[in-house]
Amino acid sequence: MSVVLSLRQVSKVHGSGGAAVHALRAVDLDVVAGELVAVMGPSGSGKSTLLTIAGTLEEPTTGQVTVCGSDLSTLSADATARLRRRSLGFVFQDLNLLAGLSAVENVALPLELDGMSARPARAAALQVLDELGLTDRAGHYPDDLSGGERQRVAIARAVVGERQLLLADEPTGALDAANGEAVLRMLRAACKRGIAGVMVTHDAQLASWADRVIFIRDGRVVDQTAPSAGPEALLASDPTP
Amino acid sequence: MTPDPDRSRPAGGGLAARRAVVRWAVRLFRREWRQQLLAIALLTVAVSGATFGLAATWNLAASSDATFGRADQLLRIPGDDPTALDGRVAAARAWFGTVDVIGHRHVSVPGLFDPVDVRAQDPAGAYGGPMLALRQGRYPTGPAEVAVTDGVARALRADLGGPVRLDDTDRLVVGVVENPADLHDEFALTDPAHAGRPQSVTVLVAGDRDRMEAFRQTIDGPLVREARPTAERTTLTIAALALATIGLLLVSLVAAAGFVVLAHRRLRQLGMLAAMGATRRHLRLVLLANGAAVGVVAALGGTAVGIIAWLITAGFVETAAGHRIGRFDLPWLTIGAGMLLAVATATAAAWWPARAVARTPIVNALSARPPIPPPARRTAVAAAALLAAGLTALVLSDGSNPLLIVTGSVGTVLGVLLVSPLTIPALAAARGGLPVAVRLALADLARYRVRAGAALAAISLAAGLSAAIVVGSSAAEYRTQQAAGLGNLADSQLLIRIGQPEPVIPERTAAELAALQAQTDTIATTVGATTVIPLDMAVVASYTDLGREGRSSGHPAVEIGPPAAAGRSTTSHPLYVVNPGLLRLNGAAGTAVDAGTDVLTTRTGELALLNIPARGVRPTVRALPRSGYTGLPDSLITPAALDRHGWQPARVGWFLAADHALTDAQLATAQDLAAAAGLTVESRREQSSLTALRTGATIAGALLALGVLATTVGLIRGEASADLRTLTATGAPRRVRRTLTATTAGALALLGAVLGVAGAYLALAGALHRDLDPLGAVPVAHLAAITAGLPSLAAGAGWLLAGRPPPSLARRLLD
Repeated sequence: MSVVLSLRQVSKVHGSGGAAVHALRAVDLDVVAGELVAVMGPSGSGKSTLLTIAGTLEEPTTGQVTVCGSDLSTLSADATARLRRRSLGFVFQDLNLLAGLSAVENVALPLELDGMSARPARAAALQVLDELGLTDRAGHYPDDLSGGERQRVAIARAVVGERQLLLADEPTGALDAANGEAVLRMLRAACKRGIAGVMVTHDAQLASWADRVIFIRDGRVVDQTAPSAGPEALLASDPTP
Repeated sequence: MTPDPDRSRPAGGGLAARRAVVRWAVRLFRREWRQQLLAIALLTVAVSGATFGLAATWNLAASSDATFGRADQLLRIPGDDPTALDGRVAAARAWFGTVDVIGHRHVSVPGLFDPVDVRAQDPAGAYGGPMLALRQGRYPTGPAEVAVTDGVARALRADLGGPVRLDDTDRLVVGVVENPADLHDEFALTDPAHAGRPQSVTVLVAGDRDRMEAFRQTIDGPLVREARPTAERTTLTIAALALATIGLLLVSLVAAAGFVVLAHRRLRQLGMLAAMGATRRHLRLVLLANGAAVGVVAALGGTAVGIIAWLITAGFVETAAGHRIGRFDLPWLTIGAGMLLAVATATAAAWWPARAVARTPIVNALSARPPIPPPARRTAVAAAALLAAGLTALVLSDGSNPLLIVTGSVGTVLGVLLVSPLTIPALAAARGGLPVAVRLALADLARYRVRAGAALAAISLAAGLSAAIVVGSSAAEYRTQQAAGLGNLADSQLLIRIGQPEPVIPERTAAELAALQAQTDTIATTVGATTVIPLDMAVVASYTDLGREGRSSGHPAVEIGPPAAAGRSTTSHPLYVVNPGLLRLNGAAGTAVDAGTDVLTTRTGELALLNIPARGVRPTVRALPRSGYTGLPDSLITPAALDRHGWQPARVGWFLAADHALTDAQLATAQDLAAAAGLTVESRREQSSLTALRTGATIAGALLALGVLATTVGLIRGEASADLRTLTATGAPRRVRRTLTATTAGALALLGAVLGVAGAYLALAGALHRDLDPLGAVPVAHLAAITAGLPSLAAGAGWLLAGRPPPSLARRLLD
């Protein structure tokens, strides 16, 4: 399996001198295509920083980050933006959709930003929404969608096109259990189609959906383990002996 | 097979990406236009003012069509030598090809002072069309017909279809005509085919100056020729557009503060867009498109309002301009340029916030952390440089060079705007010892100083413009008062004149004078006058003058003034014959006047007696103290001087004074009594006061500043809602919430007002540096309203409006 995300000795320091805060310390991480990795840790441990660095939203202080084969340190700002819109998809805890655009327009936006004209971009967006069971919500605006629907539309936007890496920061943090599970199921399904996924959570139950769980404390990866068979494993297991 | 996106799509997203971004920006504008009402309203007002100004300027400007019609040049050929006249007209026709010949005869009419221009013009002439229009009836044909302008019709008491005797010929008035390009051009139109020999001829021709000069070389003797002046209405309109540009630029500075607020409000969404892969260019485009949308709305709305206002007032403008105005004869290209300018300035106003937001790190944007302000030192240096350059330009302008005044004003304004944000940390640093809510509000201003600074800059601009108008108008009024003294008369005084003030005094019989004296006595009794002083002027009895504009003839009144030099006009003042009352009035009661003195006067400098047959007569002058009133007789001629020159006194009026201020009713009665006897009354004229202008500017500036505060204070307090939550959780009462908002609003208003007033004084001191006395006339009440009233009002409004718990206590209000 190809490595989609690779972090080597990645450190991040906010501030300087006595006020310096080490958000990450020499983190190594590889995520391969089709793998869903959960990142867990207490508040302030560096989970979100890991995600933003992996997602090219900020640069590490030291270390090397490679996304889809591109060493981020060698990319210009425009090339990094291009990488984001072609290969990366983000799902945040809240504020995922742009006000003023309908669900289908939100999903089509990354494609249009990449130069695809409006009609094919809309067709591609509708196809993804259809796959996620959101066809009937395509024309609705974010204000008219429930929290769960918004997160599902956000996932549609994160996977539309030819995305290779999906990054989710507490994607179910603002949802009830049923909606949370639906969102996780979608993430899981996306990874099954070959997308690499990294999900930040501090909920062990949700982390159990992942192929691998990384524990971070004080900016260091302190443990890394495959989860025990959770509900998803039970659901996914072949019932035939 | 999926095509490689790297090859099939432009690297930056190309047109498709820009279209998507603009679509989102427009959607956001439609959702959030109410939050941009201030910017939209300001720009709309500016554009409507510019449109109306351009339309009025374009149409008010006198058109050379009144004289030239469609021609480029004209010749004026006298008709005293008919052979020469015919020869020159023929030569012009041969040289220029097509010409339009208009004949003139200036005919005297009994009872009229000015002769009537009997004009022989072909209505279908090649170039004279714009000079002639038919209002009623038809054009004259044949020798016995004439068309007249309404002014001539009134003067001749002629009606359409009626007879009139003109130029020793009985004619029938068949039409009413006018010069649409000059409604004051009064004439009678005759058929050129049947007109008599003209006294002079105007020949309209086409061709440039070189062609005219070449023609001139072919003519012997003098030839009067005129070239159409350069398009003055175009020049005036461009000047108006330049003024409108300055206005739009100033307004855009205020709008920029609104866009800063908007940019910060959208920060998280823009962060989201960047996380999706939008480039900085795309992020900038979101706000630039919003700015352009504001500009488009303001341009369309403002232009529509301006044109409607123009259509409503065009009739008044036509009367004032004295020429016909086509309601839709407007400088459309210039108006279009003004609209584009509005869009451009609104877009430019959004540029800086767009740039700042696009540079904000994505992670900061996603968490709505405001951008890091630029280093204070760099801003301070730029502010100092702009202030220095602006003030230098103002000093060099001497208050008269428009280009330097504009440059200096813009530099000073920009300097003050850059200084504004730097003062916020200083204010916050001085918060020690104040109540906790006040300290917290001031600290928040410093924490969010990027948006607070933008708001402060806009408030400073609003207060500064108000203060500049207030202080500037006060200085102008001071200067006017210095020139005009205490006014024409005191409010207890009246000047009764026989007829109008004239340099020619008609002879009046003793009986006429006795009647006028009696009427004056009646007036004096009516108004309760305690002093009545007869006013006599010295007249040259040996000389009779025709008087002005056909008024009755009489003897010229001797005047005094600077000696007349060849080619220069001079200002003369009437001389009144000395009497004890006038000496008392001029503070010289009981003064013994020696026999050698000719004139007692408050006037200084080299003086000569004017309006007399002899030239250069220098009187022996004795100085009188100035009374301060400009209407009082302040130049007196002695009886001895009258004897020396053989001049006579002639009664011209009376001076009346009461021991109380005259009421409006008394003045009205006096005017009625005077009018009945052919007398005129001069009473105290209210000196023009610019108080209304100052009050209007103060109110407008305050409203603008409050509008800016309304759009920013809520956001700043919303940003600090976490603190408010903490305060509420720790049991802080509602008073604390009120104090926070009131302090935020009051502090911004106070800083803005102080900076604005300081900037206005700096700019005016630069422009008036040669004479700073006018700035000593401080309009205390208006400045107090700006520096104390505005902050109090802002704080009070903040206190009242902060009574309800803000929704931001429950959830963040950022998108």
